[in-house]
Amino acid sequence: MASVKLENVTKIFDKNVIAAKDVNIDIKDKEFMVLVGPSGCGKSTTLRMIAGLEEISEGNIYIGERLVNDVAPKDRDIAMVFQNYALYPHMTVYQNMAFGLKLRKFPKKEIEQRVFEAAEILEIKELLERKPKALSGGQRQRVAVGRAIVRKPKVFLFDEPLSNLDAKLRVQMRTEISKLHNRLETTMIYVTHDQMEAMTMGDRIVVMKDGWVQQIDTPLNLYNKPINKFVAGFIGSPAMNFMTGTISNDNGLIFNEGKIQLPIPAKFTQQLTPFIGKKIFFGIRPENIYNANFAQGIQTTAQTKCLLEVVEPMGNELFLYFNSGIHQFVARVGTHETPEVGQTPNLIFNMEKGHFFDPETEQHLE
Amino acid sequence: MRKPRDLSIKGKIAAYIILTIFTLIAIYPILTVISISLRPGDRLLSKSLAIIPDNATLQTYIKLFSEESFLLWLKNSSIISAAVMIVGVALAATAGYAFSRYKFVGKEAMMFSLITTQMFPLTMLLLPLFIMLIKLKLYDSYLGLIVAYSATTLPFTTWQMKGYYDTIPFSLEEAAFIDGCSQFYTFWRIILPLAAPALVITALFSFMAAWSEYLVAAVLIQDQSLFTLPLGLKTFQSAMETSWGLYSAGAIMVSLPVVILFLFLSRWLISGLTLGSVKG
Repeated sequence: MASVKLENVTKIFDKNVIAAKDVNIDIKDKEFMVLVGPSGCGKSTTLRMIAGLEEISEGNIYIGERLVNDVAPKDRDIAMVFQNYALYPHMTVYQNMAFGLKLRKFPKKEIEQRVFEAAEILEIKELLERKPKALSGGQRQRVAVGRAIVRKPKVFLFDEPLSNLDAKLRVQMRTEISKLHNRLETTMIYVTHDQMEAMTMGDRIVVMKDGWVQQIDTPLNLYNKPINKFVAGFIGSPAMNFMTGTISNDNGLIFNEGKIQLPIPAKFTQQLTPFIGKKIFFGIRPENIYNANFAQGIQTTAQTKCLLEVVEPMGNELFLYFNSGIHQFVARVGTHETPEVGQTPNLIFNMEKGHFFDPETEQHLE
Repeated sequence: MRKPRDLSIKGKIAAYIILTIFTLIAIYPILTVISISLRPGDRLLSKSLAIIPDNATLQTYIKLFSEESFLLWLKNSSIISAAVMIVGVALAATAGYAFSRYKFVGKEAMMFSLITTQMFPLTMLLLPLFIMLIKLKLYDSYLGLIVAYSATTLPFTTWQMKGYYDTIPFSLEEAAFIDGCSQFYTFWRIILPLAAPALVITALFSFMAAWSEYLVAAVLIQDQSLFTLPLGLKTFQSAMETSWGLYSAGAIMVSLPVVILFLFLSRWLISGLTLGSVKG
């Protein structure tokens, strides 16, 4: 049990490739922190620096109160679950799990007890005598987690542990790791490229891009108050719709996309006034676009007709892909709507829930 | 790809005929040598096609062990070959690991120079090797021959080991580091066991390179008491006559240890040792 603190941590490969730049993250004791971002964003490198598998070019890393910049991985009191499991193929499941304890010269009795305890939690007791090659992907994943938990480390590190599993197993293991976190009450740092995993598992999430930390916040805050266009587009599925357009003033501000005109609510007036006559990014989430026929309650004048190009039925909801003539965008609607491709239904944009971004910095305009 | 069982009957027959012919070509000399070694006297040629001749006798074998210095040569060859094998495995296993896992100055150049040595035929290296060993006062000694053989086998075996290590995922070592292994213990406990097939190839290659080598030994060894098996066998051949019976019996006895060693080591020559370690 320990907090983890990264101070201006930078990693430069081969003198010019910047993998992580000025990363500052404060992870609290017992927190489940998720690092998320597209591939190449530096999230795995950051995790590997915490593990000690990658040297730090600049900055400091603390585990608890201890500065660990020059501490070997084995002395950091951490355990790591790898994306490809990395089980020792010539050892049985039991030996795999006991290996770390044996190296640390634990008494045989205690090793046995801890391995059985972990095997019980992970429901792999009957697999203990098998070799990794006789296990399925999901079982190997459990063994890899088991190898980590027998050590009872201060911090658990997970490097995309579920990305090699099939979709169903992934969802199952996701909840199991969350349960494990509740049960063990240990700091966990979890790397993934899957924003869904990040949203569902993390107490807080670090969104990274190109080596830079974009935003650190709770899942709901990331969703509702993204700091910039990247975070807004990365968090949420289907992703937020973005349109470029201009702001004009005609008895109140209006967003002009080219084909569609959307009146902007008064609450945005202050921050958008400097942008009148200029280009701007407008973003709106798919659930904030409605079919006018089914949205009597919404008071807005932001109505427009658009061509429906694709319908994706998800079972409990529909994703409708529209084309304004300039932009494509998606609406998430209930199954009571039965639109057909080629129609041009009347759409309502719930502009109260809209987001505006600076055209140059792409920062969210608050 | 077509599998053998997909062949038609005609195809099968043709395949068997071709395979049989090549098998016969391969085993004919061996059978002949066995046959000669069992004949009484020193008859190289015989009218009979029988593999085990009439009045077959083990006389030549008895003579080989009792009257000739065969046991001495066997001892010399065993010492030298075992030493070359141990040196080869130890150095190729560690050097190959360094080439596979570490970045260091001159790595590319060193690997390239190792492969370059393989481009020169051994006969070309004989004279410089001879001069070098004389100056080192290693001429006519076990050590001289061990050094010469190790030097000629190591480039290949090092490359071979490096190539195999390259197929073992890094994350296994990283997992071991986090589990608490030191660098050396990771190598010893995790990597070496997984590299068993490559180690076996290295061991066999080094052993055989020393065991059956004649040319270098003939140049570097003059002292009869240091003769290796190939040198010893050659003494059965003289200007006037050749003891074909002894020669053949010796040849059979020389090849036996290699066969035994191969059978013993072949159980580690299995693929797929790293199966199951990582998702591939």
